[in-house]
Amino acid sequence: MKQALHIFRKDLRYLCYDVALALLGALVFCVMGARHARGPGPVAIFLPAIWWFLIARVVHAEALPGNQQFWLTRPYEWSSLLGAKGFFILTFVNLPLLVADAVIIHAAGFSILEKIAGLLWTQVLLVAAFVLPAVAFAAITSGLAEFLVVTLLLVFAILAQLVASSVFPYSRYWMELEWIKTYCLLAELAGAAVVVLVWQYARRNTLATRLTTAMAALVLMATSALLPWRMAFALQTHLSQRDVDISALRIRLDSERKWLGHVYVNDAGQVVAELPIRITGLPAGTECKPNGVNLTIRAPNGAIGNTSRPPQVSFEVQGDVTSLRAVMAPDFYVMVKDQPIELRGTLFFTVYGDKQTALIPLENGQVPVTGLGLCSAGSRFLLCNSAFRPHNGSLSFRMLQDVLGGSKAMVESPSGIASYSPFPAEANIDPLFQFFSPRMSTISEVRVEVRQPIAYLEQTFEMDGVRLSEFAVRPSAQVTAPQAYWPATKPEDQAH
Amino acid sequence: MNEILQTIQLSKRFGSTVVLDQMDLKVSEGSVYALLGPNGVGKSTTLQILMNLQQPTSGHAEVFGHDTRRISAKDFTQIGYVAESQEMPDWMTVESFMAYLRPFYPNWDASRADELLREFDLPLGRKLGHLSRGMRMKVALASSLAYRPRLLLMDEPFSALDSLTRDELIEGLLANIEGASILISSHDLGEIESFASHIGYLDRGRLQFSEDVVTLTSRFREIEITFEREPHIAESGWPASWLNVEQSGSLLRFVDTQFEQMQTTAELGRVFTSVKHVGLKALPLRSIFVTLAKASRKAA
Repeated sequence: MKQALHIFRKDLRYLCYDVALALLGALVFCVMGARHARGPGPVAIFLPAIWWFLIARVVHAEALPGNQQFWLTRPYEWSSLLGAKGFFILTFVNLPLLVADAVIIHAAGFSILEKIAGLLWTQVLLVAAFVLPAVAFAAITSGLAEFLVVTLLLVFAILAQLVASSVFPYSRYWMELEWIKTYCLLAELAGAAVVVLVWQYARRNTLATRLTTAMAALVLMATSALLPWRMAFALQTHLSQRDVDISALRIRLDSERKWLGHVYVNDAGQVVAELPIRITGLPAGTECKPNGVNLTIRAPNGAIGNTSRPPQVSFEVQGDVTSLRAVMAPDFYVMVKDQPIELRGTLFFTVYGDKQTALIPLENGQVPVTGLGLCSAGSRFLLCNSAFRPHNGSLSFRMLQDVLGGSKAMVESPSGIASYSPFPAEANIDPLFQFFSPRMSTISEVRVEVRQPIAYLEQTFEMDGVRLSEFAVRPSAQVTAPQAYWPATKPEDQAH
Repeated sequence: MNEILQTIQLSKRFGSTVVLDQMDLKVSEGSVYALLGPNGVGKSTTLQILMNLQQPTSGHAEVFGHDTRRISAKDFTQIGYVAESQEMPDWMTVESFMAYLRPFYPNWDASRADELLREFDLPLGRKLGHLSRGMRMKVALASSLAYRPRLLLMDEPFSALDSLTRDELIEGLLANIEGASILISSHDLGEIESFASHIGYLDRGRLQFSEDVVTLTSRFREIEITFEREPHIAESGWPASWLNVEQSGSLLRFVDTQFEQMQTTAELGRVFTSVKHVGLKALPLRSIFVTLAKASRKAA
């Protein structure tokens, strides 16, 4: 401990300007976050960059790779050295963020005591997602040049991941379950970083720790790409504490509104069929939101038209209409379009209940909304803040707007992604999650409705005798034409 | 005498290059051991393995009886290491560097440290990064002598230093090493011949010899034979310990590396006839070193 403090004091003298810059960054972050209604802005990008290099600088003050550093032949205890670096980072990275977060959420109207769990969990996530990887990368690099190369590789990897997730829609289906994947990745990341750190500080085996880091990167990529969605949903179900009776639940094709469905060819030349379904039999006072679906399309001759996991099958929710979206090869579609096919599948969904309604007084400060945070409204806007994590429920805002001398009711559901995470904070540097809705016309009343997720369930369904041609209006021969599109047409239109 | 350090069948490879090949080295407590050899034969590697800066490929090394791969911080409080290539915290001043190191060593002698700084005439307020090479070596040595180490390892400490600085360093070293064991590597015998008590010669990955200076100098003799007439020299059947044979007319000169009065006289009588005169000359260390280096090069 004594030696760790001695090294800490030396590092502070060595890095006094770097520390001053980091503290200044944290101060600006704090002031911007506390004073600016829409969060700390670009400081939220620059501050992690400053921290990233501060961590590298302090670790490189006693660089581990190499055999020419003076400290290697001095009586350093590796545990004291690691402890000194850890203490430095806690003091000049974690503590300033803790204080800044506390100030920002206090300024936003939240009670620090009530949000203490989120405040502390943010620190845990900062350590797991940022500090440990940064220290590990610094520990296996000999100087800033090498560290910069690793940083650039990391930036490219993150950009590649972002591009991949936009190109391959599979990742979009995680939505509210994304937190499970995030925590799996964080656990792997932090675990690998701890192994690398302890190994490198105790043994200084740079080659082995670099190989371990590379292996960990591969495992992270594999986890990100291959983590089974169904496993995540099963875990989410396991975490649910409530029993909901769904014995009366039925999922069937919405035969009264077949006109809502349509068939088209996507960019990849595949045929996409969107089939409206109706979900009935939910317990009173609840509503459901599909999270995922398995679907098998079987032709009368036994041929299978698609596989049973996303992205080949998904769902589409537009207002009160839920559609299965099945993707199949054009040949298969042409073969079965006029034949009665069988649809077999499982729908994974969340049941929302415990509805809470709050009236937001206009121009009269913030009011707490259970399950959401603090909301305020003016004559032309609605603003809701939640601290450290987004809401986990189903939200809708009901507003009365003045229109041409009268009033018109508007319902708005925020499009931001909610999270089913049971933890009090998300991995995000900005402690505030905001919903801001500016309005063109004057608002006379605002109500917020929040439903909490109470169960995560799955239900199998069977639909027989479905004819895909009933959802398309053009001759099926044109299906093979690229970009062909068949807009949905009501039956009465067809009669004309 | 007890060994303060030793290597046992120590080998080190870098890729396919064998730097150390099953080397056995022993340094006794209280000795000043000079590890000599041409550049690139593994002297620095040996010292770095002893300080756990590098790992051996096979075999092992021991310091104070402990395997150097498990050398502890406590061991380092009794070891000094001065190396030409060692990096130092350039941002620190001489004074702050010494002050920083002080708490690491329970046996740090502050008055001795001050004395060393004065002796070496080091500018206390100057940053290490702004010091000349000689001054940096002085700081390294002063910071290694201030805690009275039991063992001092010095890796090419005097290379590229001017003779004045070198003399100052050696003077400072000799005045402050009481009782300490020293292992010093050098490619230049002249740097250390004045104070080494033992010498090891490293070449082709192995110690070619390792002994105290008195024994070494007593077993090397330059032998000069004058023949009655110019002889026909055929080296077959000569002892392998006769090196660097040179002939000029009726004069033959070589170095006997295993000189022993009775045995050498008998060997000379067996090999040569018509000998007019035999002259024996003791060799200075520098000549011994050159003889071995030449023989080694020839063998290679």
